[in-house]
Amino acid sequence: MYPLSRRLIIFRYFFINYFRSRSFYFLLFLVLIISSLMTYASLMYFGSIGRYIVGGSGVAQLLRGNLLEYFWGFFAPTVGFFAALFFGSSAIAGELEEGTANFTFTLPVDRRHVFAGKFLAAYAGASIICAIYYLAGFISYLVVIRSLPNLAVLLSYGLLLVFVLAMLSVVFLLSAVFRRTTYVNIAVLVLYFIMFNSLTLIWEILYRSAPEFLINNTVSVVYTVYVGISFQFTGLGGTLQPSGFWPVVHSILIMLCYAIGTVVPAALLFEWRESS
Amino acid sequence: MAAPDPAHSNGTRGMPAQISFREVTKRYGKTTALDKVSIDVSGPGVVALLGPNGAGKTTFLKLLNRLSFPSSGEITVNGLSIDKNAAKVLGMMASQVDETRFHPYLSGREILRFVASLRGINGDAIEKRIEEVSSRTGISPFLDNLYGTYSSGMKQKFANASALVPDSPIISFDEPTANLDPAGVVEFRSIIEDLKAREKLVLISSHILSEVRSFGNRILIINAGRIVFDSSRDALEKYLSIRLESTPESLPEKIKGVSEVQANGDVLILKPKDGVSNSTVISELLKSGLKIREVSEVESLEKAYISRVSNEK
Repeated sequence: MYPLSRRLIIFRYFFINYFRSRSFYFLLFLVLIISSLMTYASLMYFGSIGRYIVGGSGVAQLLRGNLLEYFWGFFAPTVGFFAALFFGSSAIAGELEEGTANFTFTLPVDRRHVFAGKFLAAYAGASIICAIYYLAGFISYLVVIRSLPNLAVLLSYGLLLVFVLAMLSVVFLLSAVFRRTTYVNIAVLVLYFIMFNSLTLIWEILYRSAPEFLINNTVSVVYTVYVGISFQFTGLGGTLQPSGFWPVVHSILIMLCYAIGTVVPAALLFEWRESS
Repeated sequence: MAAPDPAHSNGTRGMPAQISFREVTKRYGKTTALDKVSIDVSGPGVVALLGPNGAGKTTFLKLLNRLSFPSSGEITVNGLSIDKNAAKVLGMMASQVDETRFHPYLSGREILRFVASLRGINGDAIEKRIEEVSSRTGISPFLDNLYGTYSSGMKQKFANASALVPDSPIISFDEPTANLDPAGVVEFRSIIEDLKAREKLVLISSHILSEVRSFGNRILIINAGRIVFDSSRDALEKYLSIRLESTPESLPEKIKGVSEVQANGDVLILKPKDGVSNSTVISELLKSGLKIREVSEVESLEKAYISRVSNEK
């Protein structure tokens, strides 16, 4: 059997398991709630938000559209982050915790194929959740602006997928380190929200700019492709112009560095993990 | 249970299965779970691993199935190092080790399909094989339910069944009857007889002596991480079982040439002293006035177990 067929068999198995899991439905429920709130806010207050940002009432149609997309895009990394966390945290630690490792580790395939299959399944699940959020944003745009969104929305979704790839890799690494899913969740939340934000704050105070090498800052490219406004601890910055080509490439490279730098050690740890 | 189509064989059919542990040690922190174990196990047949809880039986099976890695030493299966040829070696084996659990949101049938497809069974042969195994092991009634809804007995039956799907030449079971009801235990025994007849190498770990006696062609007693008894190497102690014409009112205080006497109704179990023949013991009994109806020789696994385990403690 070819390695690709093995990976696809493993992917299908784990994807179905993810797709039917409580995590998936919980996340789906969460995304639907967020999307509903966003849609409500878009319909009710979008005009006011536009006036507030540009400091006037005469917002051009194109800019209104960009601002609405920015508004939706601003929460997209949060959706991507939690999707990566929910699907990734139990990927390895959960196997050890639930005793399923005694089955998974004895499969007659190289463990790297199992790892790849699991990773792809988790990535597919997270991508679907993100797609649902973008779909809700797309519908909201159609209703509010009464036209199709511009192509930047595809770029934004693509960048979010790169971010999910990077975050999922980070989560897989921590899942390979810890033996309990709860510890993985705590570690990821502490790392992303406390450590990275603390570092960002210190960096901003010292250098008056956001540290672009930290993924929580880099991911802002997901919404700055619409309008270049960025929020910092030390104030609001940027322009109404969207991020250009090089900042986007720069962000992609940083996120890919996170992905490669964490997925490789995660795979190596998985290769030598013992069942409980 | 019919064997699957040879086209789905993993290439080891016809080869005598051979497992070798060479100076294998496994440590968990300061605890030594397995201590320089060297042993060859070859098929076909049933090898029973017997020992108290924490003796190292599960560690032995985990190392064999690559759920753990040795701290030192080497394990080979059919001459292949398990570390260097993991996927190939795992392809020759099927196992149910240390309460194997499966993914909860998949049905039993989906899990078995997955197992079969990774073992190279394709198309209609998958369903055929699943039907064979499920009807043989009694999992058919709940095969289409999600695994997460199974009771512990169902999970045990299912884990045992999953090890049978690949039709591997080497199959290991860890406490396979732990959560089974009496009917399930009887059913499992007949499956083992089937596997014996089909010349598989089956390893079973248990701490139930009667189970081990009924399953095992070869018995290994493990205690404190070492193999302290191997029935292929160490002879079990022989006892004489004597059935008398009737239950005696009293027994002679001492029988010449006998070190131990146990009476149970009209049956006497005697342990002849070293160098004393059975005929000498029988003639001594006759001299003391007892009327003998039947004489047989029995081996005491219990005795071997207790002496080996208590000696090591």
